[in-house]
Amino acid sequence: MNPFLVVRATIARHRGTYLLFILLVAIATAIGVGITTQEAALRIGSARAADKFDLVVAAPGSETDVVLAAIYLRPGTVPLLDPSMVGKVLNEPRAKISAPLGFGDNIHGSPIVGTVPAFADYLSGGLQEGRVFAREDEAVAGAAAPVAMGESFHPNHGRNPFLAPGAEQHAETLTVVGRMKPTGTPWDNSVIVPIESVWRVHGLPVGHADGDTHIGPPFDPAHVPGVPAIVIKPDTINAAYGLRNLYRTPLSMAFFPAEALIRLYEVLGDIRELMSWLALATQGLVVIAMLAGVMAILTLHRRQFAVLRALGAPRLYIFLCVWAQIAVIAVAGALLGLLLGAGAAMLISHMITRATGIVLPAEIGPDEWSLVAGMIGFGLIVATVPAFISYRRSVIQSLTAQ
Amino acid sequence: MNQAKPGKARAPALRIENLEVGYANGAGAVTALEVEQLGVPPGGLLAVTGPSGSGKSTLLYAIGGLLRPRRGKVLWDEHDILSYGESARDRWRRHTVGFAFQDFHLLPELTPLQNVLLPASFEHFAATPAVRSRAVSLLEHFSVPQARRSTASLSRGEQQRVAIARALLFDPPVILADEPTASLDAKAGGIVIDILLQLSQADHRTVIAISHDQELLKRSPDVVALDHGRLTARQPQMAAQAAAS
Repeated sequence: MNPFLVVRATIARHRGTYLLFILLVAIATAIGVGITTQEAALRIGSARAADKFDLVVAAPGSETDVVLAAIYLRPGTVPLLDPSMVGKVLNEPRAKISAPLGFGDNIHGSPIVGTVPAFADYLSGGLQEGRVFAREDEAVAGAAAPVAMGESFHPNHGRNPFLAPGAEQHAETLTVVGRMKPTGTPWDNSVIVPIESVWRVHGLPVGHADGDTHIGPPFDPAHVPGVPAIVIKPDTINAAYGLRNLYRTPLSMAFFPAEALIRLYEVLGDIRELMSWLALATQGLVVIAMLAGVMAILTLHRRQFAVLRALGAPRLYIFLCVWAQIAVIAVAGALLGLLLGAGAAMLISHMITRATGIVLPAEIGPDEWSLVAGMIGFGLIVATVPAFISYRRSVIQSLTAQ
Repeated sequence: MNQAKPGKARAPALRIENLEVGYANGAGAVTALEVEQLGVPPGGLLAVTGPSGSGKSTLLYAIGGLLRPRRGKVLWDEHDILSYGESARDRWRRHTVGFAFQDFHLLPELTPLQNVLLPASFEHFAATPAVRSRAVSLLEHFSVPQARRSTASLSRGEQQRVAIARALLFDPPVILADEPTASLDAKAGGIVIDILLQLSQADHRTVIAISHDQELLKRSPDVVALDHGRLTARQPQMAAQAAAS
């Protein structure tokens, strides 16, 4: 049995209507696919961006604010960690890397971040070209930062990219000596410099005794200022938990950014849940609307189906004709919706990446496929209703109906 | 004419006994058709005429096994098709009966060839090469030009010939036609009448046609008239009436 000749003819006759049905199904599916894809992309992208930030110590306050400032490099002020704590954390023996972060300046709108050489190397997993800074007047550019290798520049004060260039320029000169590999994080757009440089530019103690010009650890606890955050890469997992407990003090908070993100994801997940239900409701409504439309069309075709029966078509053939029509709409619409949804998610991801530097991998995964499969399955099941009605319809009444 | 000749089955004889078809409407049961006796010999051509609403179509559909009468028998070579189950009747109809309609009921979106091959899709996914070449030669035989053109672009006479070719795809020994010339002009109608006569007399198929067409009634060897669901006249009587008036 092959009902597709009839299905083709019917769809061709009502192609405008069927195209509309397919688009409706596609849009409903695309909304669902877009939501799940985008939510997953946000989760994966932000988690990847926080991957290298095992443990963060900062002044007591909002963990979220610290995550936004220290990991995602969003402009904004966070309270400074007390210098006494800074001295202790920077010399923590159970830390492989203990990296202070210092913000405050920009070059062409890209943030300048002060830290230690080991962290610059660790973040990008080895440099793309050049070397890590070894002196206070050297800098490493992020993969996408708007400075060239070998370029010298004066840092602009503040994080406001709309300030006229040079309006509040520091006198110090920095020279780019290396470039990091792309990391898919906001750090790709940053310029990393020695923390000592940031401190000196702002007239703060530079972490070392006078006359000591080396950069990076060890730092002299007597000469460190407050910092917004210190990132620790602990020796071992045990050390990670030990250090977190150790630095939960009245003067400091210590937390795993991954845990802070999980709390954010819970909120994100709730929102997604809500939106998914809305999308599902939309899909249901679309299928029902489509069904109503198909049934109206089928009424027009009563006579045609009766004629097919007169020509010898079994009842199952009529059933398949009707069922296959709706199946075509459901399958074509759902697959088109998958493409539209994935396309929309990629576009949104691209826009977010451009705005934040966080690479959001919008990918079609099992969630999206099961959504599409669900849409198709629902359509195929619902399609049996009009198919069965046509199957049962009396040939003779349809033939003699005018 | 070779292609249109029946090969598989010889033409059956039709015999109707005490057939009564009714339906329920708001006022109660209505009798639409009451035929005590009617027979058509194998290879005969019977024309059925009568005013609209007289039960002609009902008779044709009963003969084709498309409806269940209240009582009575429709015997094709002593086989009562009304005793068959639904799917057995579908199968019987597919291989024994070719239907032609006043409005052709072709699918205009398909080519003439696809239309002729449509009944093949009731059984198999794809038509066999033999069935395909039979469809092509049927179209050639009925002078339907360009089998691959759009069906909608054909003249009405050509469309009816496509419909008759479709009816003949499985080489059925019975042809049932419902007003086959009513929507055609005299010339195209004349060709269809020629075909029906040929199907009966040369191909030896049993043909039953409902018609108002005087030309068809004049040329048909056997005519019955229906009025209010009852047989009122058979051709010899009708000829006598015509002579008297």
